[in-house]
Amino acid sequence: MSFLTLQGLRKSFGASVAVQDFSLEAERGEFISLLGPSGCGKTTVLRMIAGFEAPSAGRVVIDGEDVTHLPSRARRIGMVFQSYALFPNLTVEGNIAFGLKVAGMAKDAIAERVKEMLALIGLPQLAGRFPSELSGGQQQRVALARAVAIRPRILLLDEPLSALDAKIRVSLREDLRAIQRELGITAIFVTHDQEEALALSHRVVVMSEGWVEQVGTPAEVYRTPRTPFVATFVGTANVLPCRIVDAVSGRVALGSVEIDAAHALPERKVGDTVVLALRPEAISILPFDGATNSIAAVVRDVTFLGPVARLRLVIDGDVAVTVDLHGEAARALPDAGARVVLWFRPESLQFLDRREHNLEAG
Amino acid sequence: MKAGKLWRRIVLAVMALYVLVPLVGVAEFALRMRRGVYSFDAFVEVFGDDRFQETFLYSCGMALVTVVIGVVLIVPAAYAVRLHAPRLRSFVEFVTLLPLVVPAIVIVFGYLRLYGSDSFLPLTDTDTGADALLAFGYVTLSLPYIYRSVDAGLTSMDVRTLTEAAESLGARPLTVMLRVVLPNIRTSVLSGAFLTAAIVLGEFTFASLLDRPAFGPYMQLLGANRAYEPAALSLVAFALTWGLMALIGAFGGRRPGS
Ligand SMILES: Nc1ncnc2c1ncn2[C@@H]1O[C@H](COP(=O)(O)OP(=O)(O)O)[C@@H](O)[C@H]1O
Ligand SMILES: [Mg+2]
Repeated sequence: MSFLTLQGLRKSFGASVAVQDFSLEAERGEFISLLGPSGCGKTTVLRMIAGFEAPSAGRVVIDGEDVTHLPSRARRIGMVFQSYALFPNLTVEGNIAFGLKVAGMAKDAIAERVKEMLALIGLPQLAGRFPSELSGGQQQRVALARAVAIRPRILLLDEPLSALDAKIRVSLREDLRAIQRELGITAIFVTHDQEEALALSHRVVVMSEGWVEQVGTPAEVYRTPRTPFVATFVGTANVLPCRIVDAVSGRVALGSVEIDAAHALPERKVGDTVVLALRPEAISILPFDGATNSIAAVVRDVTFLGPVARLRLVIDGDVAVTVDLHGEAARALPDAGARVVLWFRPESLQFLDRREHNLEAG
Repeated sequence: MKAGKLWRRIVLAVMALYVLVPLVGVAEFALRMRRGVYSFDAFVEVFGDDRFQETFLYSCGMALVTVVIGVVLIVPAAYAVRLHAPRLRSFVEFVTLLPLVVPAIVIVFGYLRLYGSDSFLPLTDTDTGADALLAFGYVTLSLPYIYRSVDAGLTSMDVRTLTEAAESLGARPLTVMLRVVLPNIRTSVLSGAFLTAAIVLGEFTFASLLDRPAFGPYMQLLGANRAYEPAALSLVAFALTWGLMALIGAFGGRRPGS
């Protein structure tokens, strides 16, 4: 039995539906990210778990207890907001102690816990400061300490790093992960930043327009995206519409070029359209023709990005393809207008579903 | 740059004259009660008058009651509107501004009809009833001031997120109100309260028509019958108002927690 179960959550605001059908099972101690562009419903899902929005349908079960109709204060969850939301009239100490006081904890027990929390976030010297006297990164640490001080069952974080500048964002991200592990707390983390989601999570839930697109480990979501949306939102991908030439051996036609996709496609017929994803870094540029899956292409432009050079090319039939070259391969770059040959391993091709909803998350 | 500075000084000087000349005139007149020499006789008269003390204390009590009722009614209302019915905000603001639009005399005649001797709730028949009616009337008058300053205070904090943060930490609505909302709008509530006190202390129409022994009618009575004392009294009233305004400034300038 999983620790947190979200079952068929749906939320509509008037006529518009913010979350369509969200189901998820999280294990105790698991770190799960909700990843998707702005407006896809991540915050709404989090707010339904927190008890700030009543679901239009579905259930929230924490540790076997159905909390769907409990008010937020009775759910024993910890919440961290993008805007920190520290109480401006209270010191760091007062903020961390707030939930403990509300719970009626004894004075010295509170002092003990506050001290422990300050040590956890590495700011013991700032106990007496007011939030307005702290940097953004410090405020967010205090907000984290305040949330976990009450020993919540689940930690909910709504883009907690988005308001911080890049350096702090990365260092706080690492601390956040370490603290989550140390406490062994189940965490649901909302972000629109794929790098954050991949770096932090055991599993990532990719969302788009209120729907769950895919649930999987960071590697699964990146290596085997299931939909065009996931392929392009998590990293960069060439999304290539192809026609099936031979469903058994997995040969498909991309424009007028036949390629080997190395997947048998028993449920598809010859002539069906399938959509394939191909990562730019999975493609090499060859000086000669002949090998399997080698395609003639014309270079449109070349962008040098330091560790990577990004080429935009066009293959037969006006299909645009992006290629990333690293290391040795990026030493001698072709010029715009050059005719080259592209090559990739058949296994690098990923078949995408048409948008498939109601995914059951495992 | 220089010309601008000169202009600023001229404007300031004109304004200072406009404000100070009448004050100095009144002060000079108030000090002339004793023939031939300046004296504080008029002030001594005023402060020594029993009715001054009675009416002033009565109005102070009224101001306190008004502020307490006003704050207890308006703070939760303004908070609830922001949290649960943000679309009603402009409507509520319009309603709270009505006492500035509807003349006090109209309100008080409405009261006299609704709560007069032959009504279903004859509040005006007893002193306590009439006092209560006056306090409620003053709460109405204070609506625009308290609501506006409270609402401004709520604007300066992220009410929704702070409320949610407190709720997620286990706080009940009353705890949120007392530990989170009020402390963070304290200065706004106080400035609304002092403004209300200043208005209640000098209010005439309600008090006079409800026949209450308040400071406003007393000032009017004195003004109609004496020469020097009213001048002294108006200086006292001015100093009082000014003192309350200074308190607003003092509290308004203090940052929360610092
Ligand atoms: N209280 C609300 N009333 C009306 N629409 C809302 C409300 N909250 C969110 N929405 C809408 O629901 C959709 C999803 O919002 P949200 O969950 O905040 O997205 P995200 O956090 O992924 O950016 C958006 O289109 C948003 O406009
Ligand atoms: Mg959001």
